[in-house]
Amino acid sequence: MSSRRRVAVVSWLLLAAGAAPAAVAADQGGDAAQGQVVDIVVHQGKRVSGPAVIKVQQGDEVTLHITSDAADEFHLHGYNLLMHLAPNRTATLHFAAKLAGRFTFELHKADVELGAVEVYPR
Amino acid sequence: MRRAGKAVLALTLAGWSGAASACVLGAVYNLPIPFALYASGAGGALVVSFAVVALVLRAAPASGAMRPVAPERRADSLAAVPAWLVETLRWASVFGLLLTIATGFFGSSNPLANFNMTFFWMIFLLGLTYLTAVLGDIYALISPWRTLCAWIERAVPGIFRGRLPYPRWLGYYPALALYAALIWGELFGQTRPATLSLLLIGYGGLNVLAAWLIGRNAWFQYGEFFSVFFGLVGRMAPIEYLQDGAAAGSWRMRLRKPFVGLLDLRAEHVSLLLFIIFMLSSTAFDGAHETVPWVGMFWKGLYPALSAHLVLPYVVWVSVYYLWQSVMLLLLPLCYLAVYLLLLWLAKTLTASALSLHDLALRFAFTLIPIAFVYNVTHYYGELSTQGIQILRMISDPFNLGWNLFGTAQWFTAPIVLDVGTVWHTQVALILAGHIVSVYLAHVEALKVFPNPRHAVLSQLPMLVLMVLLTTVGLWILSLPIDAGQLSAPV
Repeated sequence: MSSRRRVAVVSWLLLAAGAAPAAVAADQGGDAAQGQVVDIVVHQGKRVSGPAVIKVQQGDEVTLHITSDAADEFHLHGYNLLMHLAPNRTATLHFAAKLAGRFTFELHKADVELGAVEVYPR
Repeated sequence: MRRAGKAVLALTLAGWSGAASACVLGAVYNLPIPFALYASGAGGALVVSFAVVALVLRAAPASGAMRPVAPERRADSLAAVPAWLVETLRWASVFGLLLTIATGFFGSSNPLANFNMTFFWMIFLLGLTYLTAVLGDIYALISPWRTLCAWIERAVPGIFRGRLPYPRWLGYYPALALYAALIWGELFGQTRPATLSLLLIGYGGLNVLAAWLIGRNAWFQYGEFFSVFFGLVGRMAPIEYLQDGAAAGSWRMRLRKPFVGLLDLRAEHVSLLLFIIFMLSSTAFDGAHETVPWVGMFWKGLYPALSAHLVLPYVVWVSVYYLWQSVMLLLLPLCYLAVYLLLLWLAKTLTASALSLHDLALRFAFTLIPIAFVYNVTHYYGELSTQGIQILRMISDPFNLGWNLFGTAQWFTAPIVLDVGTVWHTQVALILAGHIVSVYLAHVEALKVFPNPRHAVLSQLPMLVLMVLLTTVGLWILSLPIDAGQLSAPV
């Protein structure tokens, strides 16, 4: 292999190595817009799937997908975000975690605390 | 028979159960303090403790008895508290009580929106506590219960002279029992505005009945627990109030150095020591009882062990969990007491003191109050800042009728979220400040108790361990991760 060819091969390899993370970033492009995505499933007023504590950094985008088997009202304290839940339909709540702190979320009708979003300062 | 027993137990506990929410009012958005801050705070407590020891050693004379430090009294600082001011504040205090009761019945049923919940739990119980630490025991002058009893006595002279002598052995236990009931109600009672009003009416009736039975003075000294609580906190303040013997109902005040009120007298009864210990332990419990390790003690420790032998519906286990929490609330002060007594026993052994452990325990009891106070402030000042401030909005519309009496009805409509960094640093700084004061007070008390300087310093080593322990535990609790959705996913 001539030195010119070696240079060309190495250049392509370097380009490929550089492009790989870019490709991953492009793959996550949709998620990056949504930020941290969390799915929570509620069955008979209990959280049966999804984390109890969602930890994010201040300024992150957060998307919560909540599916409940019964109609209810989802409430994220502190940010004061309310969302109606229809039975067996996934509802989505998207917000920017601008306030640092610990914010519980609950179901109003079932009167159940499902978990908390912990927003840590950067 | 066993099954029937289980069913009865299930029904009883399920009926008794509290719900998910533990705090009586509103949400506090505090994050656990980071480990680095916790570690630096605990380290700071150690450094401060050694600094105090070093200062004591340098200041101690080479030989001979050390002179006890007497609280400074300046006769020229005595001043009369204007009678019109006391009378006005008494009327305002009774009006505040009546408004609290009335709004509970006729205001919003939402605890967060009702004037009475915020006024009682935030302004009276927290705000007045912190004000008392600065201005002294003003509650003794303006207590609505005392005022009502005084008015009744004016109408029916002699009604509160007492029918039975107050049993000396009972000490402050009635106040302690009422205090424990209040904290239980705060944490697990799920108090609604109307319930609070009923409880306040009941408490008023209890005060009148007890004052009639054992005498007004005895009841307000030993039984009316707000008097005992604010009286202890007020000892830290730089202002002292004295009832004027010459003119009934008039008061004089004098300035003093901050915290010397804690050295003036010693706890006179074990029940008062327990009251102070409960001030410490109940706040620690409130801070710890929703954290991951604490909740895990039940759901990951007890629950698997018990449920292997006892098949009960989940709802009953939730009730058992709350019962366990209540039992722990009452057991925790005994753990604090055991540690306190153990370290005092060490001090006694090291110094070969002739004083009994009982005597020493009472003598050093008041030195714990600054730590108990800063526990309280660090734990609750967030609630006071976010929910307590809502009172400015509520006074414009106390009955939730759409009024705007003072033009403040639209204030603070958005949730208030405090800056996390400020909260963390304030908490650590306050805990350390309380630690310094308690270590210093214990040292001054030791100089009085142990006339030999070597003994005084030796006695301080176990006391230092105690103070560092209390401070570290306070910081540790603030750093613990908080559990979430505990009742939805116990395992």
